[in-house]
Amino acid sequence: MIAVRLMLLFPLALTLVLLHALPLIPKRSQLFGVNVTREVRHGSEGGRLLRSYQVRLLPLSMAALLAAWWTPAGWLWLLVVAPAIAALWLLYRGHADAVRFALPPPSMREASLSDDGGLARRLLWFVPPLALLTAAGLNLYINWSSIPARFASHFDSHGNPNGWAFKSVRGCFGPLALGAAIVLCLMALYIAMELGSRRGTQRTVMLACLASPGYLIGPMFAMIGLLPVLVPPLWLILLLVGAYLAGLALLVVRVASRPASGPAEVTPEACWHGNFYYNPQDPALFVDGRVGFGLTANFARRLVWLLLAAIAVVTLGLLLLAPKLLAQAPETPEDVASRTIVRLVEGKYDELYQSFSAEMRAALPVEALKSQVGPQVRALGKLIETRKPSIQQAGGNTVLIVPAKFAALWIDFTISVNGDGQVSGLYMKPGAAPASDWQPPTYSKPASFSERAVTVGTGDWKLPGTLSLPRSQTPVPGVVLVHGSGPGDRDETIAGNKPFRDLAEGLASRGIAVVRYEKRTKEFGAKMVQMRNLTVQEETVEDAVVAVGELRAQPGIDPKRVFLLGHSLGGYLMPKMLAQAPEAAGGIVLAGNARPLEDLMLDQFEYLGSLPGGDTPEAKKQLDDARKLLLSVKALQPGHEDGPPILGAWPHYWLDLRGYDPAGQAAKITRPLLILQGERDYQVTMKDFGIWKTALAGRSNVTMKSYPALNHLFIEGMGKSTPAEYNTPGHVSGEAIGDIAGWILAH
Amino acid sequence: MKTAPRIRIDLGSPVAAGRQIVDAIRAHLVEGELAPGDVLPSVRRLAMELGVHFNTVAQAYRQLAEEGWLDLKHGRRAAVIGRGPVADAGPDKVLHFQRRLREMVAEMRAHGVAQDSIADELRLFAERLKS
Repeated sequence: MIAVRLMLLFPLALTLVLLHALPLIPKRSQLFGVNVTREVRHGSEGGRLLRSYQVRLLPLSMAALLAAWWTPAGWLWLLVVAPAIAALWLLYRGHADAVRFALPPPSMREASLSDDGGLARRLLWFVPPLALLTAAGLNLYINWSSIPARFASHFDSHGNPNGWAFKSVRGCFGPLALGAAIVLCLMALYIAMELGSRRGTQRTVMLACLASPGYLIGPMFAMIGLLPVLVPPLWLILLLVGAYLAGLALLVVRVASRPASGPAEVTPEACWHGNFYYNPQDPALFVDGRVGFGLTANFARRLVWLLLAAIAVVTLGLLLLAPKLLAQAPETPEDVASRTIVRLVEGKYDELYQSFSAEMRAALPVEALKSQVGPQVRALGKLIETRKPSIQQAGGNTVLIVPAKFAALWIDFTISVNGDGQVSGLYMKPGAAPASDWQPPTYSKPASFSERAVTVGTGDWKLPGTLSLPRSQTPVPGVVLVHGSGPGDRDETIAGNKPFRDLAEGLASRGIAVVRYEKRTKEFGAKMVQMRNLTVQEETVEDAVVAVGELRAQPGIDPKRVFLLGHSLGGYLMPKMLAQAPEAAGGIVLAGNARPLEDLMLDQFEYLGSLPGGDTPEAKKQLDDARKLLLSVKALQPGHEDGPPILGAWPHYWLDLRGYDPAGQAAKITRPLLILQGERDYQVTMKDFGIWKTALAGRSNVTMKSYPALNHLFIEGMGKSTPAEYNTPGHVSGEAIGDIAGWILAH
Repeated sequence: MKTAPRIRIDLGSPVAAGRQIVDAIRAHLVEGELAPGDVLPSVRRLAMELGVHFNTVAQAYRQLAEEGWLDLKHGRRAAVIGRGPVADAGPDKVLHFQRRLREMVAEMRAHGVAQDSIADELRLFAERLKS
């Protein structure tokens, strides 16, 4: 606190010193702005008047300095303004006293007959700041495509962003335009001052006063303007301000030490009222001021009033325009979440508390934050990084799960943000290392295949994908991987697992080309959510069918041996996909359900309820809620398409699958099938495997196998499979991959 | 670069400021300190520098233009132009200026300027006229 006070006191003291020095700033033989003889200025009369000014001002400035220790911050301005007003009054009194020593104004006037050139040359001083702003604008224009839709535009003292702006012409070029407008206004003012004042008076001083701000405004606004493409380090800003202040000090010393040249400007004493000049006989708009330095206006000239009005209008306009030009984008829940974590880790519990919603404040008072949450967070050690959060909407809240890596372990922060951007929930629990810490499985032989980016599909739904191609002289068989439910990426990342990447690398290492791609609901999530008539056809089937065709056309692929591999929902839809892709050589079903999705879910909820710790009242209630939802899915009838989404899908999605019997349809497809199942799988169970088995019993080209140790992701484990199991990173069983590869190569 | 000539006027003098400006500029013109091609300050600028009304300076420039010293046509800039030969002054004019010279010398003596220095000044003028 004392440091802050001292920082406030410094400018105050500087102002007070300046007020005391005001009548002493050297002017040619002037006393309180009155032209007097040298004898009067430096003699006893001058001394007495100057002393009286100091003696009268001193108690007030001392009082202001003392009061600064106790005055609340909001009232500190008063401590500057009050002595300033007093000083002005004393200067006025001093002027009145000094007038009796005034020298009569000389009647001789002198002027040079030279043409008044050089304005353009002096205006060059305004060019570098404007050029800098223009260059920044050009840079933005050139890099327009790489500007993110929303960028950090404001930072706290630790360099963490706390303000954002949108990518728009106004948001990006606004600060540059504002900076340029300020510099141009200063330039216009200088032009008016030079054209309206006598030569040699205070021209250089005014040029310094009006051109020098541009050298701070230019770089500063250029930096602000370039924020979309470049965030300057703090030291650069400090360096800039430091360099500017140093340059300014140098300039002041140079201008102040320049000896006055030419005859003094003649302005009759009678026209001076304090530092206000009013002389209708004088054509000059600006004259050498009598107090301090620089020019002051001749208020007898109408043009001066017009100019002052113009300055007022322009200043007001810029002030009104500035918030629009520097408009900030609202904070997103992600911003709130990341700032919450930073505050928590840095121990800023008061700030954190301020960001809480009312309920949250009641539930977690700031003392509890300090005494309970604080030690927990400190025990985690240093925060190393945070990862991209997963985001869900719940009621009016956005719930974000942010994986954060601390020195010792990963923590999942679950942070709810309400519609007002307040934190309405905050939990932390040990989390798993996110998928990016994925290590390749031992059966992956990177030297034996190459990977490259491909695009699946054309037109509106182009999906980025990866083709893993074995290094082979002869054409190889290929397989297209088809996702389970949910918006999966090309690796089908689930917690720390990447089963599709395991499959791709494992199969490619065994001489099979694999194509995998971002699911349509992942790549175009926002668009797909709006589609009330969405069915599995758009969600999954179409892209898989297109991918088969595209993989067959790839060089190095044997088009007669391109297979489909569907996991979970992908397996469930295998008969649909094979029917639409007659050129596919066969299908592989991994943990594909044979029962409707809603039946599956009910089993799942019941299973989860049977797990240890699953018989709590809340869990029972969840189970009941789930049952009700599933019954409402069952109850859907054609004509209910306008209803609300159930379990994350629109009614039409459910109705479209009504009566779909995958096992029955599979029996009609004569192409070879491989059906694999993990016996520990609680999502798609041995019950489904049994249905497939029964339906396909009479087929000779169907191979079926179940693995005792594998879960839904075909990862090995022990005991009962649980959702938490997925948090432990693992790999798709090498045995299963061997079986798949063997089957494909045999066909 | 030659330094531009300066003019001085006395606002306390009974002679009108405009007249003083014309006389002072003309002296520079006759003596060649202002040569054809030189540009004078704008009316506004000179009025401001001297602290007199714009019209005073504008009128002074117009008179000099009528005498053939200045060209005021090119925009607002008053440019010095080459003056063609001037017709000989008539006997009346010569008499008028003779009388003014006499009065001027008398005024100088009355103000206590030494006779020697007046004579030196006149000699200087005479030599400058011959060369």
